[in-house]
Amino acid sequence: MKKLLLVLAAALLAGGLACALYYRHSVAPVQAEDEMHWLSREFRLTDAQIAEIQRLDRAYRPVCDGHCQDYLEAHERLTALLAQSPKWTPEMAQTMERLYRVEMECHRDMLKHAYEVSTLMAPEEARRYLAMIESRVMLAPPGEMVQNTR
Amino acid sequence: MNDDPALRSLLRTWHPEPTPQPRFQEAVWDRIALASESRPSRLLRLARDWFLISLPRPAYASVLILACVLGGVAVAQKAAAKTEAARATTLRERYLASIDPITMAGRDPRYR
Repeated sequence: MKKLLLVLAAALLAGGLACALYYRHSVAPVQAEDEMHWLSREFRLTDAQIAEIQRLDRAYRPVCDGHCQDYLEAHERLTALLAQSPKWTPEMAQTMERLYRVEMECHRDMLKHAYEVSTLMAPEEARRYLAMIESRVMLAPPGEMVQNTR
Repeated sequence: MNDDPALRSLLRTWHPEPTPQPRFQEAVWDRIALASESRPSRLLRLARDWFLISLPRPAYASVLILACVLGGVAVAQKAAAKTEAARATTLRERYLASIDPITMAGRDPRYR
């Protein structure tokens, strides 16, 4: 019985150890990965391609920040107007239109940036990258509502 | 040759007393008990005997340890793949958020 318990303990220990070591070996090396490393790995990019994408990202950053700011302002304004007045006003309609216009501009420039980035990739990777971006934009509320409200 | 009187008298004096096998009676009773048992309980008993008697033997013990090591590796592989998939999703979301002004706005405390 003692021998059996010893064998069972050894088997469990060996199994646990193998599990821990294998997991540690396969997961640990990429723990400090950032999104650029992920992009490079996911779309099989070279260092030169990554450098160029980073340059495009730096150029796009002020545009992205500007849209973010505009969207926040429009959202804040609309929230304040809706809270202030119990009646529908033309200003509310204008602010809402502005909010959706900013949203559409955000999507347009994001897509434009994505298309620029995709030109640096291999054709198959570019297709996958654009599909990822497009699915993201399509999930967002439709910007076409701006045209419909006019 | 069969009528050899010397051989005949020698055979008359020969009284062999075989020594029984160790645990002979116990083994006989075990076999009787096993034969009278129903099939499921016999299988259960065989399994228990195998587990208690055969498993601690070095050959079976080595196989068990090896199986546990392989099982551990398989579990770790599955867990690592799951972690990797979750990390890829997080990083993809972080990348998309970094180029999406609306997601960036959504993370601003003013938006809430």
